[in-house]
Amino acid sequence: MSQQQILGSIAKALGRPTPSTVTESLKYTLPPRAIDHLDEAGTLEAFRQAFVGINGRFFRVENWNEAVEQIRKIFMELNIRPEEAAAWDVPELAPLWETFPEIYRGGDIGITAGKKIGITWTHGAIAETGTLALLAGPQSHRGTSVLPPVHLSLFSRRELVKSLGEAFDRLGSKDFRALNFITGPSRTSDIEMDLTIGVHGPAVVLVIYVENLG
Amino acid sequence: MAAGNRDLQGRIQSAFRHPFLRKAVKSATNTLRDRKNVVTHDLGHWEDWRNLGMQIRNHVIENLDTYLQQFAKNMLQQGAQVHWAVTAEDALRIFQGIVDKHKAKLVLKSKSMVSEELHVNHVLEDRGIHAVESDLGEYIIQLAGETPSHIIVPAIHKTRQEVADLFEKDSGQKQQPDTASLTRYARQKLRQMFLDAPIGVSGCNFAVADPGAVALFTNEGNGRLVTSVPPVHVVFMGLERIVPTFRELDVMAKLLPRSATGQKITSYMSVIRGPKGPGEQDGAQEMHIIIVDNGRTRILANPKYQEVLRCIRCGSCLNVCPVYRQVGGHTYGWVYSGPIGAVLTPLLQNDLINWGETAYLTTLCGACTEACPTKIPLHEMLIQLRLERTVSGATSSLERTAFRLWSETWGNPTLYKLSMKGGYIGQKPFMKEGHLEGGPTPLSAWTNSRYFPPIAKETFRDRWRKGEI
Repeated sequence: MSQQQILGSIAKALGRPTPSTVTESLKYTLPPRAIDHLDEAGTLEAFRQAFVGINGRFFRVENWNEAVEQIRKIFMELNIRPEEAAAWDVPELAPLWETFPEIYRGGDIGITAGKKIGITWTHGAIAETGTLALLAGPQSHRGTSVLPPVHLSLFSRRELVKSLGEAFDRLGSKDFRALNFITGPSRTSDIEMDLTIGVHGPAVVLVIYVENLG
Repeated sequence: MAAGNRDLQGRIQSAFRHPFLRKAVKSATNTLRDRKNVVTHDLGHWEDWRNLGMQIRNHVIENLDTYLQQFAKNMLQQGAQVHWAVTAEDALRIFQGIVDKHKAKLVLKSKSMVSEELHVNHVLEDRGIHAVESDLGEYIIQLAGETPSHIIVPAIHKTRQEVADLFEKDSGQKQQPDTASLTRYARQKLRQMFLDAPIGVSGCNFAVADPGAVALFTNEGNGRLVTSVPPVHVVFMGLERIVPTFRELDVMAKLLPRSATGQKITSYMSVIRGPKGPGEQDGAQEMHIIIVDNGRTRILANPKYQEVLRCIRCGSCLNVCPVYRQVGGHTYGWVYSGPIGAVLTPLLQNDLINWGETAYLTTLCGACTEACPTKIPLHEMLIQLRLERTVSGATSSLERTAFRLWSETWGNPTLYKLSMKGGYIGQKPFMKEGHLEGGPTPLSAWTNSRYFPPIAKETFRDRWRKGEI
């Protein structure tokens, strides 16, 4: 009823007898951007700069062995035991389980909310803004990247993209229910415009770039 | 609909009397405006991006029926429930139905201007259901029992001491008036509510028609929690929020955060395509989208104002408006403030008599139009609203008579000349140090707050005739 009424009002306002169901898509070209001509190394550097610029901590390692060592260092620095971590149960993170089998790999909201760190795999690392694009799925839980006070994500060369548009081109057609773009820690300036890090989401966001997955 | 807007003068005076408001609004709007200038400069080709934004939004408006149907069909296929609400009452009835079905006593909200427009919180509170705003600024003004004074920074008018007082009252415990402690208090308090609430409510910055998706831009993370932790997620969506595909969402993601907060992108952009999928362990089990008309199709049908539907609710027109910067958001009397509020309020309320005075909260300088990322000619619409209000007979008979006399006098060269002479002589009792002070109404309405320049002894026409000019 209401649907017909609203669509009817729209059609009438637009001067058509009945609601239209087809249209030609809009044609346009995007204005040029600084990142358009970057090579792979330049793109990674652009990501690093943007990510650090929004209070993220960036680590670059050669392989998974080094990545695991880096994670161990992060655990020590932040005083986190492996059983206090939650992580995605995705094949990309498999080497993590071998070293830290205690890490929680389920998606229970209550349990995840009690963890000190959430570890995820980034499906698209967007250089232009230092953004992490995360697809939700049965093994890649939404809560992992938002409930614990620290979020650590890993990615490799294949995940690196220049722009949000490129990330949409690559991920937009996949079968997902939630795609979260994360750019640095949770923040607010709601009290006297004073920037405060860590409101409802993590106050600390770290990224490890793994050069060769082996 | 809310009560009329007749006490505009009262609200202006109360804004001027506020000890902190003008200073806070000025400093916040300066910061937001300056940050925007930096990030738009860094991006480059800002005018091209604005033109593209306008083009995309126009295309959506011209094909709104097509895209809304596409969006609804796709969301249904992906398991969401889509509801259509012609009026505010319809939207509230639909929402109430969802709340009743789940016997919810607590509803957690992330920021949604449409839900403010519908007064969702009042309706829930009236029925004993606790509706809690989870955006920090919204949470603060909710505790204070106020409405947002800025679209992007709702509690712009509150000092940290006032916030500490509100939190003290809320918790019954002493609160330190520093932002970090206050933010921590809100995090802890609201985190438990996120875990307990059966229903989460969000707005919708953009609805992607193909493939169906709702996109939310937030910074605090509450938008993510509201949409993924409670078992039911309800979206309030103004029916014009559509973009055709992810390509256009990409363009909007360039325009919105830059214009709103001066960020390249917000901390979180969530793209939700329905309730959780098979095998997913978190995410809402049920997703409802309430598509709200509430006067929007009426605006669509009016070619003079149709373009206002291009608005992406960034608030950048507020930050540059010389009037908003002096009086703040509450002066506009309803939920939308600044130049966009001055235009939208009488249109959505469909009431020029009681709400049309907002069209006078402008200097017509056009800064709003220049700031708008989708190039809405806001100042032209404000002139149009004034015209329609006058024609409809909303202005006082004294004002109408005065302007008729003025137009008849100044429309006639002899009478114009006489009026200047008469004015020159008549002003003498009020002359003081080269300007006018005091005097009878309506002159005193001006001279009470600023100097009025006197009429010169020798008029322009005299000097022209003498060849001096």
